[in-house]
Amino acid sequence: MSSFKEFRSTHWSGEPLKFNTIPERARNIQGMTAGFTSRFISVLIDMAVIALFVLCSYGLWIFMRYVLSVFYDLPQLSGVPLLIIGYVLMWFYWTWSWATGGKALGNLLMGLRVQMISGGSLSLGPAALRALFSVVFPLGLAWAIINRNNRSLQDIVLRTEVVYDWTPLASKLQ
Amino acid sequence: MAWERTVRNDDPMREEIDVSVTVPMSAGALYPLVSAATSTVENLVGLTKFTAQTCVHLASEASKSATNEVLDRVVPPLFSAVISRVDLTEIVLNNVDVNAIVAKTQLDPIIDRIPMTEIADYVIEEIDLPTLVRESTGGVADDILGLLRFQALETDNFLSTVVDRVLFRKRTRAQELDQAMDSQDSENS
Repeated sequence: MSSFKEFRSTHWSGEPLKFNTIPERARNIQGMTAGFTSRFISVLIDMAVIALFVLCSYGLWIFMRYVLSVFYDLPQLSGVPLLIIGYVLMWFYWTWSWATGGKALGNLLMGLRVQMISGGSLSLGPAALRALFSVVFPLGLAWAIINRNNRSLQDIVLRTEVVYDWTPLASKLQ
Repeated sequence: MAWERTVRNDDPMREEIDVSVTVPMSAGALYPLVSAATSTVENLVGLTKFTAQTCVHLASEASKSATNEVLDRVVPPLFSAVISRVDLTEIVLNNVDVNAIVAKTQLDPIIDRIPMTEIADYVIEEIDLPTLVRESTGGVADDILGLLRFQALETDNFLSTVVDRVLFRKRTRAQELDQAMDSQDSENS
């Protein structure tokens, strides 16, 4: 709590106040490349979301199959097509997320952002390539443990990076 | 005293007596004269006094108004000429305890005159309270997320430190991260 006098001495009156909701300890690491663990958890979250979506869709499919069995004979879905659907969904989802702001749900929760090394956001092409790479070869992320700049194989090949970006959720919604 | 009785021919019944009286002058006989003279003198004195008073009054009023007029014409320019050569603010600041005056000032009437709700509106508008509320409610979720993020961060530090040590790197990634955090701490303190 500072006095009004102190407040005014540190804030120019015409300046719009910015209320920084990022924890103080984490403010200076914003923009630094993120380590393996954060990114791994972020990937797990995304995978869990897609898995949940696929499972729900599968449940709905079974229900529809049961209801419509009187009229139609819908094909039974086995594990492999579900897995393929999951992979494709994952690819689409990551492409869409990284091309529009660089944040999938996992990234958003873990405070990460995917961007080009130059600092710009990914356009659709690189985003699609990176998403495909990540879906096909997720182990590439493990290279981030070893790489000096926390870069995974995907990052090295596509000249991208994942940085800390803890901007509050609310300001993202504006 | 002599008196004479005459009978008029035309009216025998009427008898006239002429009496001629010779009264000697006495003090009583002077009284009306004296009193008339006295009252005349008194009136004269009163009139003179009244006239004198009126004249004095008129003269004083006239002189007053003339003086006022002269003062009205002379004093303001004189005063302003004096004041313009004197830094009044400086004098007041040096010699008057303004804080003491303010301390004794009745604030309630002043506050009553201040349009509080308008100021409140202005402040809300100025600080953009809606955004503030949105961000602070989002902040609750961010606190929980912050915990998760910091835990991941610490794990990253541990993992990268181990790897960097094994690879004999001079400067570990954890050190860089810690340095960044410390520089933030020193900026705030």
